[in-house]
Amino acid sequence: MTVARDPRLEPAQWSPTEGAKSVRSKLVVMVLANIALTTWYFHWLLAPQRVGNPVLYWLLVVAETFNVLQAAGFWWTALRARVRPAAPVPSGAFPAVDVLIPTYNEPVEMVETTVTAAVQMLGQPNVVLCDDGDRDEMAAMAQRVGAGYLRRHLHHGAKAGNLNYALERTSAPFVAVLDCDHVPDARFLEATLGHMADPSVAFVQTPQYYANARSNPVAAASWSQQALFFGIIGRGKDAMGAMFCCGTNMVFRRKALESTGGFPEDSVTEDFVLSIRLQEQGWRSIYVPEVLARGLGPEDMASYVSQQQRWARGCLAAIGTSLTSKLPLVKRIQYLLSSMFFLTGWTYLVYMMLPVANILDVGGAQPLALATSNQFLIHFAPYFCASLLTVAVAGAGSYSFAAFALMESSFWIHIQASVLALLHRKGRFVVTPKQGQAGRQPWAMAPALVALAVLIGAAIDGLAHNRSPGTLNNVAFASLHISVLLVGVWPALFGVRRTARVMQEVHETEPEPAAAAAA
Amino acid sequence: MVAGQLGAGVGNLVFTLVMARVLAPEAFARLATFLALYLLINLPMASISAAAALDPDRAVDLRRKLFLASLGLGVAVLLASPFLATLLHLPVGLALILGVATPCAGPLALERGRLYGRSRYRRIIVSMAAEPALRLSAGVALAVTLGPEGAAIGVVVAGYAALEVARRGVWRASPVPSWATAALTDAAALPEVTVPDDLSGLDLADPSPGAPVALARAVWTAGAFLLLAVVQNQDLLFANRLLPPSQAGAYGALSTLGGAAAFATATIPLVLLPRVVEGRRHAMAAALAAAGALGTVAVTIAALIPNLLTGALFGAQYATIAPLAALYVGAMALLGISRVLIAHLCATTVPRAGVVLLVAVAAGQAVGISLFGHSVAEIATTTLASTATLTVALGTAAVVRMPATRHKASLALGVLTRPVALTVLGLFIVGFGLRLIIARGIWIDEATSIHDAALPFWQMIMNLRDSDVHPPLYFAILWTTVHLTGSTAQLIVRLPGIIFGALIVPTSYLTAKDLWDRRTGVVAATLCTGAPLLVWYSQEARMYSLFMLLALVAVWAQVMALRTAKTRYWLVYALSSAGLGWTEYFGLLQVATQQLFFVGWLWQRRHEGGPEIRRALIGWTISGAAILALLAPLVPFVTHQFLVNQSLGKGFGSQPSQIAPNGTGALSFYVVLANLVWAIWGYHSTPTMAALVAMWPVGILSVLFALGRRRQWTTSLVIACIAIPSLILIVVGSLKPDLFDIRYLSGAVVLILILLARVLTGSVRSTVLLRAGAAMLVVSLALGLYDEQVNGANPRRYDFRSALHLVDARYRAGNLLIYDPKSLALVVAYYSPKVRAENAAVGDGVIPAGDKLFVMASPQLMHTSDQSTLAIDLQRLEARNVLVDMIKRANVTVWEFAP
Repeated sequence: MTVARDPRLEPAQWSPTEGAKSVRSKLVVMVLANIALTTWYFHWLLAPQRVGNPVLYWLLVVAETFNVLQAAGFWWTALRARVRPAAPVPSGAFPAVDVLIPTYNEPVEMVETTVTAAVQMLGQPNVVLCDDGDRDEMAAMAQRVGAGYLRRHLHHGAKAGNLNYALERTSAPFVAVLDCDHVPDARFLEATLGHMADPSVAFVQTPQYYANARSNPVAAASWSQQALFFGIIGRGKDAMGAMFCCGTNMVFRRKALESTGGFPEDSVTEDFVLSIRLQEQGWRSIYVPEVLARGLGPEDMASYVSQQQRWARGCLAAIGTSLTSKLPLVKRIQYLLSSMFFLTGWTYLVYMMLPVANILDVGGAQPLALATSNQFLIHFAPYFCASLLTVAVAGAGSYSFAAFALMESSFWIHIQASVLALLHRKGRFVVTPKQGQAGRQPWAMAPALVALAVLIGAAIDGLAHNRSPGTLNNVAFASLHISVLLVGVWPALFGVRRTARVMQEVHETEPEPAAAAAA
Repeated sequence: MVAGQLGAGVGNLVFTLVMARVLAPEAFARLATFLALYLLINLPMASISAAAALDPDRAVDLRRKLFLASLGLGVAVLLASPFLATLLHLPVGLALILGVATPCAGPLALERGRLYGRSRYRRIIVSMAAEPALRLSAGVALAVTLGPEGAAIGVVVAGYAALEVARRGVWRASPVPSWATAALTDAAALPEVTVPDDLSGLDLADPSPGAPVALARAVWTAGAFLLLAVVQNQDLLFANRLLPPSQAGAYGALSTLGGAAAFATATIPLVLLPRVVEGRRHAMAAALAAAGALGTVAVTIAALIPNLLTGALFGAQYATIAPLAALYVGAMALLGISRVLIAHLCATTVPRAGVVLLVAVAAGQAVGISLFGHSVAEIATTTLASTATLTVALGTAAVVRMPATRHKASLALGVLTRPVALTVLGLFIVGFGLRLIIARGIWIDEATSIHDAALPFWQMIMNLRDSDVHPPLYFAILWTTVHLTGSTAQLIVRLPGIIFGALIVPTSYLTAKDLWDRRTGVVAATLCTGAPLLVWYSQEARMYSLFMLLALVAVWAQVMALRTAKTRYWLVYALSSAGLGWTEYFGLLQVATQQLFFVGWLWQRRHEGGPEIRRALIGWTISGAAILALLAPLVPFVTHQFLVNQSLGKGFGSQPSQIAPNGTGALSFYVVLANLVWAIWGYHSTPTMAALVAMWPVGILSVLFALGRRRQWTTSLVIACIAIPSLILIVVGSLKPDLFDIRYLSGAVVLILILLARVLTGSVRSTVLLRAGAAMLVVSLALGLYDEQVNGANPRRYDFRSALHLVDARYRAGNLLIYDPKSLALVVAYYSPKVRAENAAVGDGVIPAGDKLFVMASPQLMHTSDQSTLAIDLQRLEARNVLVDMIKRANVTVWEFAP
């Protein structure tokens, strides 16, 4: 019998600084080309005579404009990216650090690996397992490995409440937070505490790394989205002082946390809101581009959807906070870009809708007038290719087609989240299944499947009724989306092969998804 | 020695040439037959020379016995002369003279053999020189007075004089040792051939040589050389019997030319034999190199100046054999190589297998000539086939007999019987078959190629230089094909392209395997087997399939050179890159791209240092210099072509552009996409292309698909070799649309296919999915291939063949065919050489009574203004005559008018 080794104990296969040295000069050239090509495309697109069906036309223009704004934000962030030098190791004795590991219903063996590694970190870690699941076996395990154990009588405020409860019962000047599936390196504190020498630093964030990305396609696609964020975007935000905390693998200055009253319990993205509040008070953030802990990504579509729904609702709800914050303009734009990313789904909806409308002759016209295929291609193709190439180069090849497909297939999550945010409906924590499901989960992606069915129906209808080049062109657009959606929903339709170690921790709060600039 | 041999050969050739001028063709044919019989008797005696060369001292006692045997043979020939004369259509006098000559052959061979064995080369040269000297003096004088019989007497006298010179040289130089006289008393005591050290590993036929073995060897060796003589000469005997006298005389002249080539290499085996026995390691290689070099020189001369060799030397009456000169000299040059291989076989083993092979080849040659030998060309071609078969078989056997090769062959056999090798072999056969199934006739450009290839070589080169826009390598290959086969049949002229195209299949496997992995290799080979555009251009008598093959080889060689730094890969890289330039000027875009890639590759590793980088740098520098040196001779050629074309106002395009499926002729994104579709799925009708190009959004998938794929540097090289030449051509095409044509990117086409294979294997891990994906792609290619080849609406298909066959069938003397555009001239000449055809205006449109006028036009190839003129002409003709018929074929229309 083969016993699989916990992938979190394997060395990381990725570095946030991969290709960082050589990428800047390439990016300068590419961004200049992007600007020129985007101008060229929009100059053509926005010409007054280009308006075909006004509704379809303006939907297209709004979608394209949104994407260009997101892309511009990405170029800006990427161009500012720097590799922060490692901080000197604290001289003399390490300062005391309370290491808080919140848990709810995760398997003991999974948490034990994390807690054991945390206890063995260099320095003076005071590891506290914050168990909201009230499990005795968890308490026994904590005692066995030499960690502290806390259990609440009243379970309010979810993860934020759990952490705040622990904050009140600990006193070290620094507080590290680790999700219970994230196994830290021995030098986690050594690599982060040095940056705390600057008294204005509120927190030091390190990357989240999905150790199961190599064995699970959903985790792999999800990781591909994350890698872009924790690579060049993270480094760019760090250079602008706009890195926000991402829920795990971070160290706070207790004083800073206390200045904002601890973790906000009124948001599903408490870390995002906390970061804004801290920076409003003048605190600084640091991002250390080095994998110092290895965790697990979502292993099935239900987990992924659940995660994305939380992030989308939390970040979209934070748009108002970002807009009204008293941050410097640069930081405010950075926060706004991150939170608005979750509107991207609307653009996918527009792109999918256009060929369907054309094939079914809804509105009776094309969105664009006086535009031949050749004209469209000559303006659109260079712009599109240059944008994708920039993402590919900036991400050092980390952003994949699977990540893109998963993103497009999740378009409905963004729409759902924005509608709920508009209705001011508060999000609630939905606990993700602890283990990846091996079976099919079509209901998890039901809206995407509906979109798929509509696109397939339209394509068949187009082929059945009219095979003119115009219709074929729209059928081809529909086929493009069908292909992308099929790749995205594949794990939901056909299931994911169960890996030897399929464990999933509830990421109640997570950072902005990485693919911010992929659009 | 080689110089002496050449001198003697030239002397004998001059004698024959003089005879060809002095004697009437019939008389010369008789003399040629006599000379062939004379050679037939003398050549087997080379086995005696061989034995004597192997052990000159111990052969002394053979002298008397051999003389007696030769004398007996001579008497036999004398007695049989009436029968010989009847059988071979010879005068009895010549048969009798042959009998007198016979006793000289054996002793002459023996004495010369002893001279070879003792390395008395100077004496051999004198002996050899004596023959032509006497032939040219006494022989010519006697020929003038006595005719062919006089010339024959001169030949015999020269033979005996040569014997005397050789005999004196041997005995004076080295008295027979006392022990030798007692040693060998009969043929059974022929010297035992010592197996040299370096040949000890050979699997000899009989590992325990002794006296019986020596005798056997002597007998089998004599048989082998006798059969060689038969292969060399029986064609002439057959020609004399089967052909009319004038043609037989022509064949005699041809045989003389070939005989010179054979004679030039005749002594090489004799020089080789003692050296092999002495154990000189490179004796065989040196002998082969000498025979090969002499043969190549002879073929080159025959190819370059055939008219001079035939018409000028033999006289105008023999000018008809000029096109066959290279072919026949090539046959004899191959025989020279075979002779070396046989000699080596005799020196190392009892050559039973060699004799069996020679019997088979000689019999095959005799049967072939009997069945198909109805003309000089057919007998010469059969002889070439025989000598080529013999050389290949002997060469293969020689290679296989080498111990090292045997080991490698065993390994290679193991590799070749692996499933993947069998798969690639199967794909190659399928690919070859697909390319042979040719559904269309000759097209304009092909007709130009064929016309050029039919010219004498230098005239073709000058023609290309003055009126074409392509480099000469492919044309030289086509020229060789045409002149070796003596045919411009459709299949023959397309054969080089078909072979190059079929070779793309295994080469694509090799390239993709070495660039990535084996399964990518198999998928790449599968795609290349039936890729429509590859098949299309493999079927053309043009340079594009060679362009594709060289493009693939250049990329493969570059990768292997950078990986291994081995000289052979650098050499292949340099040769294939230079070949690209010599095949198609646009191939230089790939050469430049690959050079740029070297720079990038080295720049990226500039901090690494180490011997690998140093070797790569040296290899790059030397190969780059070699490429430049190889391309340098092309510079004046291309400069002249360009200047001529510019001065004629043609630039590089004289036909309407074919860059777009809709014939717009303007470069656009749509056109680029259409060319991409062509590259993968081939040429199709305009509506099909419009539909396919409209599907461009699906192409976005490929861009998205590339996301997150970490490229290997090998992939980057392939992408660069596709993208950079394409982009350059797009830029050039935007200035001059005629120059943007997928043909000029043929190299990129084949690279696109192997890249497709890589995309497939790189993105699908599951074997089932990979097979499904590959199957879908192959099915789409198969559909594309079928539509491209069969659909008459394909704008690239021009059915001139069918249209002109129709004209041929209805044409009567005095009728006229008017064709438009002008560029159809060579196509018309190819298919309907007897039809009176013009590219002229119809004038007043009046057709004389009883005549007919055919008009053949291909409007798609015409400029708009010419189309209007044609329409007006047709209206005029229709107004004044009767339109008998109008036949439409693919992109060609024929109107038949009668008064």
